[in-house]
Amino acid sequence: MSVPSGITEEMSAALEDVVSRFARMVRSVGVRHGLSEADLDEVLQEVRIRLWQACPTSEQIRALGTSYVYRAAISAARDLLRRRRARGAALTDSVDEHTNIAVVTSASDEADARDLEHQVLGVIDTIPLSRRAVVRMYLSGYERDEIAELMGWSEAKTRNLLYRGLADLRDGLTRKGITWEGQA
Amino acid sequence: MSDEKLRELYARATSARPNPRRVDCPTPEALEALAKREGPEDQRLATLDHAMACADCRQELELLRAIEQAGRAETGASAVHTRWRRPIVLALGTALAAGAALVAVLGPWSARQDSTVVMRGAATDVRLAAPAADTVVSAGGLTFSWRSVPDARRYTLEVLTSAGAVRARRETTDTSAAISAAELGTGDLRWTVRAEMNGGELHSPTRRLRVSRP
Repeated sequence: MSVPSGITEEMSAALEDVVSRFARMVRSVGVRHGLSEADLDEVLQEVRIRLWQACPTSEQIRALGTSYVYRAAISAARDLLRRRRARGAALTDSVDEHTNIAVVTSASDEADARDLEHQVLGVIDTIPLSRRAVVRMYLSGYERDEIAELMGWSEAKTRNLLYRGLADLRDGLTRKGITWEGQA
Repeated sequence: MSDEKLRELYARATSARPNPRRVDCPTPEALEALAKREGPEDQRLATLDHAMACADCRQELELLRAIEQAGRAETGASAVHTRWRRPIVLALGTALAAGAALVAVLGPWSARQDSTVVMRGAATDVRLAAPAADTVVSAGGLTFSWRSVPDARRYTLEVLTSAGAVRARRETTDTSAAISAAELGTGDLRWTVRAEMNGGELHSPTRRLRVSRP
C-alpha cells in the first residue's frame, strides 16, 4: 500500500491502521454492486494524504474519530468525480461488471436482443417516477432492504412501491406480448 | 422471461448506452445528496432514476453509497463499543479527546437506562428495553436496546419520523445500537425493532420518543 513520501514508518503504520479498517467496511458494502477497487484505492490514497496533512503526529492520527475519516473519504470521492468529469473520463470499469452479460451469437440474435431491450426500457419509462426508480434499482441487482436504506424508507413503503412498480412493468410487458414470470 | 433474465437484459441495455460527455447526468453533489439521504425526496428519486439507467452515474453513486454506509456503520459501531468499554476507559483515565467526548455524550444515557421500565409486548414480540416510552432527549445521541430473541439471525432498528419516514436504521446481530445526535435530528419520533429468523420475522411494539434540543 503506497503512502505519501517523506513520512515516518510510525506515521505510515498509524495511517494504515485508520484507513484500512474503514476500507474494509467500504468494500464489504460495495462489493456486491461492482464497486471499483481502482477507484476506491484512489480515494483511500487521497484520504491518507489528507489525514497526514491534518495530523502532524502518529498519536494524533490514531486518535482521529471514525467520523473524521468518513468525512475525508466522502470529500475525496466527490473531488475524484469532479476531476474525472472535468477530464471527460468515466470511472474505471470494475473487473466483473460485464461478466454476467449474455453472449449474443449472431447478427439476427443481436437485433432481436436490441429490440427486446428497447421495448423493456420503453415500458419502464412509462412507470411513475417513485415506482420507476425503485424498479430500476431492483433490476440493477439491489435488494429491497438496500433500496429502503438508500431512500430512507420503511420496509413496508419500499415493498409497496416495488411490488406496484413490478406490477406496472409486468402489465406493460404483457401488452407488448412479452411474458415475464418475475415476482410482481 | 425470468427475473434473472430481465436483470441481465437491463444490465446489457444500460451498459450499452455510453454517455462520455455526461449530458444530463446529475452533479456529483446530487449523487452525494442521494447517498446521504439529504434533500427533497422527489429530487433524490429523480437522481436515483437517472443513476440506475446510466452506467457511469451508477458506478459513481456506488462509490459514494459504499463510503456513506461504511461511515454510518462504523460510527454506530464505535459508539456501542465505547459504551461497553466505558468503565475500563474511566479506570484507565485515558485522555483521548475523541473517546472522552463520546463517553461524555453517552454517559447520561447509561445512567438513565438503569431506571428504564421495560415495556412488555406479546410473548412472541421483540421486547424493547431502552429508551423508555415517551423519553425526551435534549442532548447527545442515543443507544437503543432490546431483549434477545431466540434464533434471531439479525435485528433491524428503525427510527421513524411522525410522518413514517425512516430517520435512521441499523442492522445488527447485537441487542443494542447507537444513533448519533446528528442522525436523530429533532422532533417527534417513533422506534421499532424487527428480528429476522430463519422461519420469518418478529416485530416489536412502536415506542415514541421526542428529541428537543435547546
